[in-house]
Amino acid sequence: MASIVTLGPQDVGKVYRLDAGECLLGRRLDCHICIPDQRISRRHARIRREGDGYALEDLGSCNGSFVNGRRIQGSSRLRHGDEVEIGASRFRIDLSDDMVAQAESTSVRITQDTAEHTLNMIEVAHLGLNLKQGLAPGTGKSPSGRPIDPARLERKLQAMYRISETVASTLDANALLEKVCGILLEVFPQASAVAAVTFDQRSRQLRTQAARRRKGRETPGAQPTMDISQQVVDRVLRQGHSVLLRATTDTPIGPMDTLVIKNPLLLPMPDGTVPPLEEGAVGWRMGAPLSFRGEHLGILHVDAETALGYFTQDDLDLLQGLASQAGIALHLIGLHHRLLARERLDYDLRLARQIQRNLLPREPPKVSGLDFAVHYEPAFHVGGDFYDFLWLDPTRLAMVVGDVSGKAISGALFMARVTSEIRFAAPVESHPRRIIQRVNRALSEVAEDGMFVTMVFLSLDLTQQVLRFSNAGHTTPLLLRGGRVTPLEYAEARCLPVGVEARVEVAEAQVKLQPGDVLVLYTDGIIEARSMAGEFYGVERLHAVLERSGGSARQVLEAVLGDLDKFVEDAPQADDQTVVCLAVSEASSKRFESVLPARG
Amino acid sequence: MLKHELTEQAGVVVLRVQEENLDALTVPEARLLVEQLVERGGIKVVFEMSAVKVIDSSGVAIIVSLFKRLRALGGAVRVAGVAGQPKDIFAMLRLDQALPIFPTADEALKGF
Repeated sequence: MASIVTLGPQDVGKVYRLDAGECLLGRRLDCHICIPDQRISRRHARIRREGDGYALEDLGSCNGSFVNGRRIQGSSRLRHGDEVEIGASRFRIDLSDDMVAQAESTSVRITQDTAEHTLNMIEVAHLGLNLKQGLAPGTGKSPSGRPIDPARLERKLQAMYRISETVASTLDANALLEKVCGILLEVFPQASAVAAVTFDQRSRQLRTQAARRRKGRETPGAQPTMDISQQVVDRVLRQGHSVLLRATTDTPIGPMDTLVIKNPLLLPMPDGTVPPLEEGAVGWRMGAPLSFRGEHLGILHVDAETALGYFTQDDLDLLQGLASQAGIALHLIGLHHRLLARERLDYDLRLARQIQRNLLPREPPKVSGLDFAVHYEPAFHVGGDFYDFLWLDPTRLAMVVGDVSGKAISGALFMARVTSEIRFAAPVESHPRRIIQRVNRALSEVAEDGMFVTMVFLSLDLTQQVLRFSNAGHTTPLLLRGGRVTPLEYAEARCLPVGVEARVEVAEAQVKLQPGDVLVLYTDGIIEARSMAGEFYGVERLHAVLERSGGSARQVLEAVLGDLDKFVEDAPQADDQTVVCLAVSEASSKRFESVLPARG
Repeated sequence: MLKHELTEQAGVVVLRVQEENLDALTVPEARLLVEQLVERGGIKVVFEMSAVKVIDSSGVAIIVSLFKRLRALGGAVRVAGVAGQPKDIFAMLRLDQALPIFPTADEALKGF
């Protein structure tokens, strides 16, 4: 049973079968494995048969497909246990046809019995009894065509009712199966032991999750474990059939079909009577699949010893009905837990994002004669971009826009450090170049490995509207004046990103702003945004849209974002995007309210 | 694995990257390669990247990391064959302030 098992982060443990031909992975809803992740292309990759195995083929995705951490080129043959990764989603390939062999290791005899068990099995489905239909209501007949005994029918309905009640009242798989086992012992007075065995899709292990023995039948001190034979696993778990077996001590196990033909009398007779057990027989056993929509979650298992009685077709029908109810409940419990896990992850990321948002200014400062507009959009919940506004003194406003190399959590953590260094350095140094140098000294000691930060630091003297700035490896600020864009680029005022070298030399450049000017600061996530065709947005397009725009800071910002949206269409956002616009309306401006204490 | 070619000339390791993209996707592998270089004691490295057409900040991070680690060991890195988009990025980042940049690997090897 070739399959692909979801490892996360969503739908953990979900299994998709591969034997149905091609399996398409992507963002589109009609993909077999549909993953709503911006980093994943609409039709990202597919798994298809290749010879007697399977291969993963990348369908020209933007961000690639990985097998065991390596990006594949074109198509790559899959082996058992391979890990496939696209976007943030990980899967494991399971080509083992030896689930039974694995289960075999857990196959032992019933703990209480001393005699070696071998099992004669009748696979009921082979004999034309369609057990999958379970009860056939209204016909007055069981699926096997025999008349239903009213007392039995009532017993069934009672049992079904009790199971549904149990199912509705628990969200814990262990508790559910414990209760189911209790009900099974009551419902089947002839049963000596019952067990619920679950199959873990990830580890491919069978586990006895709940087991009970009838009172007086326990072995003192022994664990009430009950393992399960290979044939039961084979028929129940793999094929989804219920089985009724008769265990003997001496009948050798032959191929199943032969057994069925050789021992047809092992089934209860059509009138419900049961053929007497042969010499050496030790008991009866039933197994029914705990399944939901073809996904087999485990086995309900009931044993009877000869002294207590035997099982009939009706019993098997009933067990099948109960098992299917319990299967639905198990599925829902699994779903519930997966949702919880996902919510926790979402919660962590939301929290991280919130912490980060708190590091960034909630809103731009209020200054008469100036207006601001800010766009900040991290690509992966938490980002490495940052911006800040700081008052160096009541007439000088500092602005910084930067980008920490590294994304997601690592980038965000370093960003927190960077912003705090800036806030610490700004009031002490008060000049852009010196602030950059100071932050750089502090960070190049702690910057691990290749971490670095690009930033442009600007200070605006409100009385003169003079802008001074230094640029540590960041994108060039743009000045929109009279419908033309001027890049504020001065070689002397540009230096290495912060965190590379402990000593950097950099100068400051200075520009006098005029009413009508709009200053645009941005991060490379804007100009490196890609279209569906993989083309960069680029600085030329940014210049062009700015030259067509004008007005307030908000209007200019909206024009840029609108143009960018049109360009990228539905292509995934690969990097954080930040734009800060500042529009000047008067020749001199003034801070609206001073929250700084007057400097003595 | 990041496609590359390693040669050694008079105690200098020349690392020729043979990828068009040096970005977030190739970098995890490049990181491993850098570890290996440093472990092998190749403390003088020429990073030849004329095959690289597109580099992003994670690609730059690899070069910065190589630079910092080799310098800490008393070694050095020289970069050769930077053109096109990588050249623009290098200019924006002013990487020439920290890294000696040469047109070709041969020129980088001279007097290293």
